[in-house]
Amino acid sequence: MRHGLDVTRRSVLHGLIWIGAIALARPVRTLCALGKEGPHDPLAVRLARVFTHAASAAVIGWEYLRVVPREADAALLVDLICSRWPSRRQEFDDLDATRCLELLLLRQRQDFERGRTVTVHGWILSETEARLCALAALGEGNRDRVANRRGRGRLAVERTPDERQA
Amino acid sequence: MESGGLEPDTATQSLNEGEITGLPYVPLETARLRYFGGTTNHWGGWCRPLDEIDFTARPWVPHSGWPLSRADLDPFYRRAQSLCQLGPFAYDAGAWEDQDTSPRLPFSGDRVMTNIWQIGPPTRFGASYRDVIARSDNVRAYLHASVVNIDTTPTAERVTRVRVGCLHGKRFSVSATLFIVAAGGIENPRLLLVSNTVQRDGLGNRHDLVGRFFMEHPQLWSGALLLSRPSFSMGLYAIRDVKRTRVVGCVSLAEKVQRREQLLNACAFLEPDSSGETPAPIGGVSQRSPSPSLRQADPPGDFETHLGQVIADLNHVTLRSGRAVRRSPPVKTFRLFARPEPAPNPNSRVTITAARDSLGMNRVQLHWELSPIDERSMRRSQEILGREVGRAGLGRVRSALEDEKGLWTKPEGAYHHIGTTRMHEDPKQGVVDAKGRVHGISNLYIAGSSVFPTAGYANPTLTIVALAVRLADHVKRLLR
Repeated sequence: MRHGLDVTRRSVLHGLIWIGAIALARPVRTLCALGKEGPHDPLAVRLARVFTHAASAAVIGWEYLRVVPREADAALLVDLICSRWPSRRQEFDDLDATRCLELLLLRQRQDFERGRTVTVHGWILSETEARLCALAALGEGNRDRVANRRGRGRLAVERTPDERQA
Repeated sequence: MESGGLEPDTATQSLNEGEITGLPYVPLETARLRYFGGTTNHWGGWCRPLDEIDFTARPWVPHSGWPLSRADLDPFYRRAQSLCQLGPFAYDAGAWEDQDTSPRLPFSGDRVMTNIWQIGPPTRFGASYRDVIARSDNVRAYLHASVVNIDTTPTAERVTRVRVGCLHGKRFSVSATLFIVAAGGIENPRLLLVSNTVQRDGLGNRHDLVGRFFMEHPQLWSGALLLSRPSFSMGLYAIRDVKRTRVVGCVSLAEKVQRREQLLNACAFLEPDSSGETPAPIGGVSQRSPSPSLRQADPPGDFETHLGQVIADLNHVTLRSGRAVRRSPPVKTFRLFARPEPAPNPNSRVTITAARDSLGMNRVQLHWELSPIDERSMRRSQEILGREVGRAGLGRVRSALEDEKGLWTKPEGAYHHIGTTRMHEDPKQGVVDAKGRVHGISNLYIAGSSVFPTAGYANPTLTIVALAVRLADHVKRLLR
């Protein structure tokens, strides 16, 4: 007697392969994103270099991306950082470093004022600073270390010469 | 009638033993002391009056509201100050800060503010007032005399006598015009509940309120403050002596934010982090240290250091000659010790069991329970503090509640036993009236924190003493 659903060993194996492929696809895509979606946009590069202690920022940024993995994309992070900017992004592009920092600080304070915060390992951070850190994590200088961290499950952050001096 | 002697002894102390259910709690025989001076014998001396909002009925805090206001109690607080050997009746930061050496943190004021505690010697009431009592013409203290039952008229409208038991076997009774039960927040309801020969559920318990609404301060090491202004003097938040008064500042939720966000009152102390050492107890009360094993996920071991570098980068940008110059001074870490107000909860209660102590009195069972609003309020308070610290450019706050699983399920108490014979003008909502008289019984009064309808975040002793002074005035007028 045949049942309505004909389940063969081959179809079960097929199904398992597809389930496995789907399960693997997301982390692989994220890993690729970390490799390919680092900041190439000049504004992204500028924002990623806000921190003197870039490696420290990368550690915070990586932990932030573990909380919000969908933001592991430099272009998206820049958009999010600039989205509520009083001036438009183009205007921001034209700002000198000092004015840029002033605006970032203002934005950071406004985040706290208006409740735009994120909790990373219990620490209450402004969304803007967390995203700036995420950009640093995706930055050219840190991408390999971030990728290494994924591989080992823990990031051994090397200190930059600047940080060693500090 | 004093149950103990002038010094503690094990046999008397064992009368306090009882069962614990609900939240974990210290053994009841160590949480209270039965000898002359009572629990003031292990009191830390930390004092602060309840805030004005603590006395008000808050719609978002069920069963809140006192039948008296802070203004009603202020004259008695002033008198309690001297009985507790404290300084002037001043608990606002403005009275104790020094703009140069110990300024308050620059909070907005409508969210987070600084408040002051005073710390007494601490006053051991037994030792401090023994001579006064001994010299008094109209006060006589009987030691080793434990009241084991309250007898009333057949209608329970009036107390006729109390029966007293001594550990060596002697029994006697004491008759009086008026009786005041002042045995603490667990023994007060116990004595009413065991006195059940006329009223079967216990004296003053017609509405099943005696023993209910037990409150404790669920205090805990709740996180950390990473201060990115290391040069800011934190003197106001450290214990120090100012004009012979020992004071310490805390950060607390402003009334406005409590109302807006429907939160319980709360404060937190800032304890300088002594890098890895077990945090010292606050207020002389034993406190479990934070457990790293409870963390939900391992952050990088030096996450805090990295965060310090990052916020120093952002917070310490100075502009010189048109270009940004960064300074990255080290940050300072403070551990946060949270002292939230507990919400009144009828299921949190003291009951009596079938087991009896050596005087034949039923032992107690303590079931301490918190409400959902307690946890919500605690988490939100930490968040508000974190945002305010960030907004003010002071640094960052870590909320351990967001990072350590199960932390909230095991808070430790402060040995504060509150609310079990609550005060309310309506006999259906309270055991005693606004004067402290048991509803329906004309000459039975209760003193102590068991009459508090809500607990605030402050230690209860100053309020206990203020209410006792107020009750003493009332009784003097009655007996005149």
